Amino acid sequence: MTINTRPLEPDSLAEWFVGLKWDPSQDLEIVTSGNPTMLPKTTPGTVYWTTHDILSRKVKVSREVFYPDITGSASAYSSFTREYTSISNPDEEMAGLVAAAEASDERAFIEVTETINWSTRSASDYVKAIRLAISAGVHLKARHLATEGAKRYPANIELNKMSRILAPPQILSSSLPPRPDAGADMQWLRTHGDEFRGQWVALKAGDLLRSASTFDEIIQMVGNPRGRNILVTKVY
Amino acid sequence: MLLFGDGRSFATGKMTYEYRPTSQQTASNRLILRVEINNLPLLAIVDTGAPYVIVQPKYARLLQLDPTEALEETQLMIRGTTFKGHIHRVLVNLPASEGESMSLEATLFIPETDEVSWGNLPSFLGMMGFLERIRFAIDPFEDSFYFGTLS
Repeated sequence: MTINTRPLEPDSLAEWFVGLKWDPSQDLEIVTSGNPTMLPKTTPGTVYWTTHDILSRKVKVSREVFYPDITGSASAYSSFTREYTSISNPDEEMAGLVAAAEASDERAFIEVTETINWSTRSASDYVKAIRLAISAGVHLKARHLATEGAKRYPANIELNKMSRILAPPQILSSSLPPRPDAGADMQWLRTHGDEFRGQWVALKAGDLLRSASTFDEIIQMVGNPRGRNILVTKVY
Repeated sequence: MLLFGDGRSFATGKMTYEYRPTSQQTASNRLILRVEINNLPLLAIVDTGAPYVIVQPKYARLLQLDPTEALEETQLMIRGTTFKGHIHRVLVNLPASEGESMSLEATLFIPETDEVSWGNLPSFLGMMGFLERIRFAIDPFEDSFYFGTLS
C-alpha cells in the first residue's frame, strides 16, 4: 500500500501535511509529516490524505483528526482515527496515476486512467499522464492519451509532439527495390563468421572492409557508417 | 511472395536472419535482422515482448539524433533493468534480399547510459511501435524472415 500526503484544507495551516507510510519490513504504518515547526503543538487539526490500494485497485481519500505530536507507529496512538470518505477531486486521481506508475502496476494504472474524466483535464494533465504511462510500461495507453490529448488541444506543441512520436508505425513504402547488398552482408557473416569470431567487422555489400578488436577502433577506421551502407557489427 | 489461401498477399519481401546468441556471455539464440535506422545499418533482435525499437548506446551515438526532437527524458524497463533515455521518431528500412524492401516510420528508444551499464544487451525490434504494423513470418529451415504490410 502506498500512501501519499496532501496539504491541509486552505483554512488550515498551509505547508503542513501528514500521512502514513507503510513500512513493509515491519508491517507497520508509520506516521510521517512535514514542516512540523509550522503547526501549533497543542492544536489538533484535520488531515486528508489519499490511499492508493494497489491490490484492491481502489483510490480512497481519508480524513482524520490529527494531533501534532504524533510520530512513529500508528498503532501506538489510539487518538489517531481514520474515516474513509467518498471525496474525490482531480488531484487525487492524478495521485493515483503516480502511485500506480511508481508501483509499476500496469493494470492499476489503466483502471485509474479509465476513472478519470479526461474532458475536464488540462493539456498539462495529459502530458503528465503520458509520461507516467511510459514510465509505468503502459505504452499503448500512453499512445491513446497522446492521440486524444492532441485532438483536444491541437495548439499544444508538446501534445502534438507526443502524438506524432508515439503514433503507430507508418509504412512509407512497401514496394522499394530489393537490396541484395544487405543480404550479402548476412551471407558473409554466415560464411566467414568463424574466422572473425570476437572481432568487430565493417561490411559493405558482402565485402569485408576492415576488422578491429573494438567498436571505437573500427569506427575510427571506417568513419561513421550512417548513410554509407556499411554494416559495423561484432562477430559472435 | 507469400500468399493467403484466397490469393491476397501476405508478404512481399524476404530477408535472411541470423539465429545465434547476441554476445559471448549468452547462450540463447536470437532472431537477428539487418535493418537500417535513419540509414545506419545495424543488427537487431526481434523481440515481440519489447516496446519500440531500442538501439544500443554505441550505435545511438552514430545516429546523432537531435534531443530537442525527442520526448522529455523517460525511463524504460529493458530485460529487468530500468534505463533512462529519450524517445524519438525515426525512419526504419527493411532491406529485402528478395522481393520488395520496406520503409516505415517507427518509435525509437535511445538509452542515455554508458556502455558498461548497458552490458551485453543487443538492439531490439519491439512489437509496440514497430512490428505491430508489419505482417511477418519466419522460415527456420532457410533462416528467412518474410514481411509485408497489413493492407
